[in-house]
Formats: sequence, C-alpha cells, structure tokens
Amino acid sequence: MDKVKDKVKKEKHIWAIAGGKGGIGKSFVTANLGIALCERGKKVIVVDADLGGANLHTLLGIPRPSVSLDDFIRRGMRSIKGIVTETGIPNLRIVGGVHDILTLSNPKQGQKQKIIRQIQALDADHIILDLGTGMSPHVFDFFLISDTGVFLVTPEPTSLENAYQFIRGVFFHRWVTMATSTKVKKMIEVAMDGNNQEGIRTPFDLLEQLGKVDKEAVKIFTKGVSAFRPRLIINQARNLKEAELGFAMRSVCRKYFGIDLVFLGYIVHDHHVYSSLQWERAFFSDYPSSEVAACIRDIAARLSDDRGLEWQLS
Amino acid sequence: MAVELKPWREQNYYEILEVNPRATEEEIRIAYDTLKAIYSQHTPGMTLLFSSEEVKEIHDKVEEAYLVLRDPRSQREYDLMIRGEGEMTTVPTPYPLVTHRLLSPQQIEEALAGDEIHWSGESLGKIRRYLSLEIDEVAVEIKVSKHNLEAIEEEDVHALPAPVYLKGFLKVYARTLGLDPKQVTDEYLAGIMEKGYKRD
Repeated sequence: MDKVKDKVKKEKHIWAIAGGKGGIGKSFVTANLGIALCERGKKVIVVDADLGGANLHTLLGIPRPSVSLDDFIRRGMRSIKGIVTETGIPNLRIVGGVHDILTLSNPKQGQKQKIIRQIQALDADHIILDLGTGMSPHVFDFFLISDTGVFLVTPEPTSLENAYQFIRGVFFHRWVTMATSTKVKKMIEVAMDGNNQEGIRTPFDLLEQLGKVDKEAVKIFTKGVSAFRPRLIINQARNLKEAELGFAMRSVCRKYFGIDLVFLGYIVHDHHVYSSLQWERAFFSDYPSSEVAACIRDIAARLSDDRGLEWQLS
Repeated sequence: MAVELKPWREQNYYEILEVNPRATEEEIRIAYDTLKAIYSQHTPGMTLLFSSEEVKEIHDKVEEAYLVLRDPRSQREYDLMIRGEGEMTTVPTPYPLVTHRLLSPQQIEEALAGDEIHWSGESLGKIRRYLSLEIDEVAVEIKVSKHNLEAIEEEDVHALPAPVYLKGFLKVYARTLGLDPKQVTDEYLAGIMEKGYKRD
C-alpha cells in the first residue's frame, strides 16, 4: 500500500549548493550535476540564486537568458514560470539570476519568500540552486528553505575554515529562524560571533545559557536537530587523502554541532575544467568520459533517490 | 546513524566512535582507525571549532572507547552498564589481549594439526597462529621484544638472549599461549642445546 503511494506521489527535491568561499566551483557543480541528473532521466531546473554575480548560464555554454529573476523581482511578475529558459540540453532548464544590481544582493525577506515559493512550485524532479558567495543571512535563508543544503568545499585550509564558519553560521541562523522570542534570538546572535564576550563557543554552551531563560526553546532546538542533515561534496581533490577530508568534516560536525553531515563524495581536480571555462562550454558535453564527469555522476546517483547515501571507502 | 544533540564529552563509546551499537568488530576497528587519524594529525580547518587541547582530548577518548569495545567481553559489560543493567557502575577495564587460560589437549592437537606434542619454536608458532595472535601484539602485551619472540620461534641460536633471560621469556610466552610453562621451557631448551645454544 505504501509502495503504491510512493509511486503516485511526485518526488521533487530542491538542493542548494553553497560554500563560504568564492571560486570553489559552486556554479560548475550546479551546472554539471544538473546535466548528470538529466542523464539519469530526470527533469532538472538549475536556478542562479547568486544574487549579484550570476554566471550559471556560462557554465552551461549558453548566452545570458533574456529573462531572469531580475525581471521577476523588479517587474513584479506573478509567476517564475515565465522566466524558465531552455538550455539546449534535453530536460535541463535554467532560471537566470540577477546581475549587476547591487541592491538585490540583500533582498528583503518578503522577496526571498516569494522567490522560494515560486521555486517550490516549479515543475521538475530536481531543482538545484546555485547560491552566492559569502555568509549573509539571505544565503543562509536560501540554504535552509531548500529541502537539502549541500556544502561545497575545496581541500585548501582557507576553504575548509570558511566552510566551518559557514556551517556554524547557518546552524545558528537556523535557530534564529526557529526562535519565537526576541530574547532568545538576541542570545543566538551573540553566540554567532565566535569571539563573543559571554564565552559561548559551541551550540551546547548556548543551550546551557538558553536553559536559564527559555526551557521551551531548548526543547525545540534539541528536538529539531536531527531534521538538519546537510550534505557535503569535496571539490578539486588532488588525491584520495584530500578527498577523505570529507570524513574529517563529517566527524567534526557530529562532535561540535551534533549534526549528521552526509558525505556525498568528491570531485577530482582536473585542469581541463579550467580550459572548458575559458571557452565558455559545458564541461560535461566536452568531456563526458573524464574522471571529473565520473565523480559527478556518482554524486548524482546518490542525490537521485535521496536516501541519504554516502560515499564510502572500499 | 541517528545523532543525538549531546556534547562529545557526554557521548558514550559508540557515539564517540560514530558507530551503531550493533556494529561489527570490523566496523568498530575501521571507525577507530579513521578517527584516530583525523584527531591525531593536524587536520586543516578543524582548529576553527576545536582547540588543540580539545583535539587531543577527543583523540584520547577515541582510544579509550576502542580499548573497551574491541573485546566482546568488556564490550558486553559496557553495554549492560550504559543500559543501566548489570552490576557495574563504572566503565569496565579493558581485557588484556591474551587469555591465560590453559589450552585443552584437544585444542593443542588441533593447533598442531596432528604433529606429536613436542615444544619447539615451530610448535609454539603454530599455537600462536591457532590463537590468531600477531607477534607484534604479543610483544606489546607481555613486554618481550618482537626480535626476541621471533628468535624463539625461529630457534635462531645466535639471536637468542642469554639463558637467564630466555628462560623467563619462554615461561611468560608459554603462559600467554595457554601452555604449561615448565614443560615448554624444558623441551625447548633441550631442543636448542642440540642446535648449539650454549647454556652459559
């Protein structure tokens, strides 16, 4: 009976690709993961949610879409459906982003909600959001409103530090959005500053402090933690040791935040990616049998049925 | 594995090793190896969340957890303890790697695969392998160097230590393998004397 229901129910997944640092390949992974999911017979829409630095179309080797989120926001369009553009790749469509409008890098809460509601209503099996760089609340919001956030990290120490900072930020931001009282929100905002005067370092320190003022909030936060299962992809791994940094991040996240980070896999470093970017081509179409493409296909397979599958060492 | 919001200092050994309480021996060992590597080297970026003292503390905790969970007996006691059953209220001490229980004649016969019982380097090696013990781990356990244990099993008369030490080593090794120390020592010594080992 349940099985029949599953088949009837339309499965739709919204993924948000994020990472604290710029230039780590968010748009590259979004575009090519999109193509890899199409190969698996899925209907995919990639959304350029990098409000302010949109270039996802370039990674798919197509010109800037003539309509974009820009039109949706600025012209008050009713529906986002009108700005979904074909990419020339079967079953893959794109929602173009906003470019050179600096004010829109920080959209108002109402605008964000509207964008998100519209994205949720799109007709596709998988919708992948390419989030912007940085650790602003609006990036956190998009990350959290998607079904599943995916952290993209490269093995350099700076990228890893940024990633931990990003995870910490998004973890506390999630609690801010769950909090009902201003007092609790304030305390979380204090904790978000890693060098705060109250000596609140870890989520557990914060819970202890919150316990003194609002026991109900502590209960809500504790109970809701298992619902937060972000994914992780290591990009540009030069060797297996770098790829395995994903296991270290997973463990650190368990011990520091008490969250279950699902390690989806890694993508090897390949200089062909650079030249494909130079020529403004879709990498997957030019190098379908490369190791990079194989890595991305593996990840797509794990995303495809979203059973929380992880990469494991054989 | 479901993760519970709990500071790592309050986590039980399974949570520390990030394994399911029903994990197999192999899974526990792999988890231990992985975590030991993560928290013993400088893993990039980690220091943003953990101080180096905390990293060391986690590393020690991983070690402590593995020592108890690697052995089914101390693991069982631990399981009872965390479920609030059993008599133990503190963490069980890890069992020594090697049992000191005497092997039965049947076991010895099986280990020697039909050979006549005569204690020599070769037959001691057979017993050790029958018990699935590595020379390295025995060496650590009984505090006799690997070099000496190898010389004993190979009957390398030039590498063997002086008789006063050799006798002591043979006794403790025999006991570790669950054999009669006196019988082993006497037969072994008689054997190597014929090969040119000098008593003095």
